Amino acid sequence: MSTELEHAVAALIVETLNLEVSAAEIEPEAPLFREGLGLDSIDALELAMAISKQYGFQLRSDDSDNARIFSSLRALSQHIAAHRVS
Amino acid sequence: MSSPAVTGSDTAELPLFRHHRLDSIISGSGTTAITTARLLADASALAERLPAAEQQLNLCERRYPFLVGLLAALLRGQLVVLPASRAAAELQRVAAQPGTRYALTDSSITVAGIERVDYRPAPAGHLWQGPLPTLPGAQAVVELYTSGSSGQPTRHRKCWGELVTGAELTGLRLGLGALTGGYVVATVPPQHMFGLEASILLPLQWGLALTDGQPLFPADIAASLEQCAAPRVLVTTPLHLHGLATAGVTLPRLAATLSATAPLAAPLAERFEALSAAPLFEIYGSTESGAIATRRTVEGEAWHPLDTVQLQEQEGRWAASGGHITTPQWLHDRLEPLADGRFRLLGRDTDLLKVAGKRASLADLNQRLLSIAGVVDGTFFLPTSTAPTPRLCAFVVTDGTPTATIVSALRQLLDPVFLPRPLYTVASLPRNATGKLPRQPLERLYRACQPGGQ
Repeated sequence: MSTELEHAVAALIVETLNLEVSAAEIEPEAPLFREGLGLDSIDALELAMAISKQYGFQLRSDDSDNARIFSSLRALSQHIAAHRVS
Repeated sequence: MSSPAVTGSDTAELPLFRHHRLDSIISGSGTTAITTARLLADASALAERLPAAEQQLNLCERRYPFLVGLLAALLRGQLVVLPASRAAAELQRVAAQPGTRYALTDSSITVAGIERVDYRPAPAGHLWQGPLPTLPGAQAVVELYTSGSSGQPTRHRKCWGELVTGAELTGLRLGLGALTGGYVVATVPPQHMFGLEASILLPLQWGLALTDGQPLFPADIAASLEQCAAPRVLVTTPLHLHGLATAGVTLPRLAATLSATAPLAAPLAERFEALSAAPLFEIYGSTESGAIATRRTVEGEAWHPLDTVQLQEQEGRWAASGGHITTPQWLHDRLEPLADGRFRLLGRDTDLLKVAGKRASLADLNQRLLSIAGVVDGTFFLPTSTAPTPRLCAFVVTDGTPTATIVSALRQLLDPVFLPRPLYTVASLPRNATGKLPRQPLERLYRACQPGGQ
């Protein structure tokens, strides 16, 4: 069961990266990178740009946090919820 | 200053460092500052710990440990082998080469079948005694790989003289002599040719300091630049430049920006020059040849070969030679020669494509796809696309094996940037009478696979 924000972020991922899956198919707890959705660092950069545009804040990569923030749709949405300006 | 062409029989000793002293800063930013003497101490201590071997597989992710590992290998007369990607199959292939007995790492990565040596700095009190070292120009120092249509990777060994001459020619062209004491922030890894030339060799040979990280996000790149005192040089790619320009982060004033791996659009270059208050140069080159030509993008699309580098045409193909290019190397693009030795790029060899700045041979990718159990027939395909980073897709005819299994197998064989998005399962591929797959039928197949396709 995903939240409204999770659904919006999933839609943003699908649209930004031109993915074939639908937003609804992205499991909130499934890995985004390498396994699961199989995104790579190029995707991370493109996503960061889209998130900054949509939610008004800059993504930073912190050694400990980066893996966690991008570990799943849920984690990413929580990070956005905590930092969003718009 | 003259720029002598390097020959393979050059026996002269060339300095490891130029425009550096033992007490100059070779690495660091913000609160850390590592001197050349400290770097040499770390390298000599590491050199003592290295197993006896002909080759070092250097998998360090941070730039400083990578450099220490490289220097340690050189001190032991070992060749540093740099895999084309981190795909498990590629690491296995390089590890299986006779002479590769160990991998040097600064992370928890392991490579089956060979020893692992963990990077560590020198113990306190371990000092470098002596002057700045030199190395014979003819000593082979690194080996890189490219894949071509034959399917077998081609090895490219670089000797010290080639790397030094390449750095000399590039730095002269970019005016790096005026930036001694500055810092280089790079968003590219040191294991690929551009990163090796621009983020390792240029600092060593032009009195600049390198920085450890490899920032990705715009805010991180800006922060890395802020942490360095001026003059600052940014070594990066069009994708990162696009991110920086779009994000609207504030950048400190730069001295120069260097971009490579994919062509840069003039409007983005103009925006970035305004943002950074500095000239933005592109480098055109290849793994085989190293840097070949430069241009300041805002001045026009013509490329200017490095001094003493020449381009020659033979039967419609172009080769680069001279300067640091000891053996003429075929280029993978078609060129149009212009006045004064300059040239315009026209388009790539059809077998070689680039995804997100990384080069691959289509034939090689297809060989790997076909090697997977469950794939009866298959091909990769790069659709024409207006997306910022166009991605490959692939068509497969399977024996019923699920696509997830096939993608999983591909993940072991390929750099992740080449993984198909998506993998389409089809009944058959539109091969012609000679078994080839012309582009038009593939385009029709691609359209048919889209939602709403016929």
